Amino acid sequence: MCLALPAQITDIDFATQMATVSVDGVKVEVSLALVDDVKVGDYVLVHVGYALNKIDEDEALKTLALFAEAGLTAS
Amino acid sequence: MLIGNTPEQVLSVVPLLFSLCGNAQAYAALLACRAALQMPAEPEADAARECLLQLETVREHAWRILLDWPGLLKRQPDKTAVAALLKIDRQFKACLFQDGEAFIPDSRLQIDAPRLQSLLAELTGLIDQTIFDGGLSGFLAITDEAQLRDWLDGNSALSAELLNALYRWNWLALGYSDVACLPELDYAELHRQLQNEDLSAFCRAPQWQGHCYETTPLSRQQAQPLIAELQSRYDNSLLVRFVAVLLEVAAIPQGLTASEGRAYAANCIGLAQVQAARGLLIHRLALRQGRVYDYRIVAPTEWNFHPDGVLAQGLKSLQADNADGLRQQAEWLINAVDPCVQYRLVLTPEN
Repeated sequence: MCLALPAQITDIDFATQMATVSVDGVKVEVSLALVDDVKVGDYVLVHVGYALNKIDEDEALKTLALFAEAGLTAS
Repeated sequence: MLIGNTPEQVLSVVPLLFSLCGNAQAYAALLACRAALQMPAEPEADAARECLLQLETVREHAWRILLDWPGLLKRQPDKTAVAALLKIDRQFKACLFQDGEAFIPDSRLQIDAPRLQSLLAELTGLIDQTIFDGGLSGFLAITDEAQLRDWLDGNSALSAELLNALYRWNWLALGYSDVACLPELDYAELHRQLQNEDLSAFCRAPQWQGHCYETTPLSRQQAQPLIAELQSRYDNSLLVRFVAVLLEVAAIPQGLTASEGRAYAANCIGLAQVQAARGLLIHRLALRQGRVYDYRIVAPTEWNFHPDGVLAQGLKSLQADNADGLRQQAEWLINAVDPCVQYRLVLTPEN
């Protein structure tokens, strides 16, 4: 089944439209080419190397808690 | 994680967990909950929900075509087009339901027909321009391989370049397997089979009446004249799979079909089948004293990536002169069967 994990943006390189995000405690590089108006600290849904859309912090934390409860993430 | 929840809680949690095919997942959950609770169907709202499912299929096909197919052809993807596509897609729910709340029991239908038509036209235009290079209507008129070859001749659209590569490399019949397409599952029969199955095992590796089946866009498009003709020559190989996806992405925005949402109820068990972008999605829940005590989801991936299923058999049939060629063939086949699955490909030398 395909899942998109919420991830918090920790760094942005505007020149390359790439961001570093934290997914389940692991830092990964994702493309920001598909989303507008994001900044460090925002949560985005990440799938196959792309941030798909911005989501609000409450929804992101709730979703991460559900993933953790289901044993799909470590924390 | 859904166990112990009320059906209302299930319906709020499912879209958070499954945001990629969120409409399909949320609709399957709604149908299953409604059946288990013996709530009446909502024909008008369900027709609108079916439209949202079909539009989600278009979005899923289109964004993966725009991102993945250039990669398969060793080119850079047009990310601006993907961003525009996602922007259009985000607006559909609000055109059909109050506050964009489409998949809750008290969703209120509120159709903004002019805006919906305008968005559909925008979506069709974007797909026509970025995938078909203005040749979408010509593509939809094709009914046999000879016409397809004519359409492909000198065509530099993304869709045509991919299909032309298959002809150039003689990869048309690549990835054949003898796994058939899943027939329409009769609800009563499906319920009976599930009552007698180890449900965990079924969800991991489903079979129908003892056999593996595939459930993909090809399963849905088999009746199309072009697909029927191509299948008579190339069966379920790479060319036929890519053409089936192109037919869906081209045809759906031009003819949304409002069908009835169906589910099955038996002794506080609700069973729902919906067509998600990649194939059949099944939700089954059982309620006890108003709360979920069992919830199962069978995703199309589990049918298609079954150890004896269509992808496994297709991969075994691949033949190439060298490891790079074999890897490339495998990447194309995996993308054609289900581009959403993340995978790691390891080639093991023969002893």
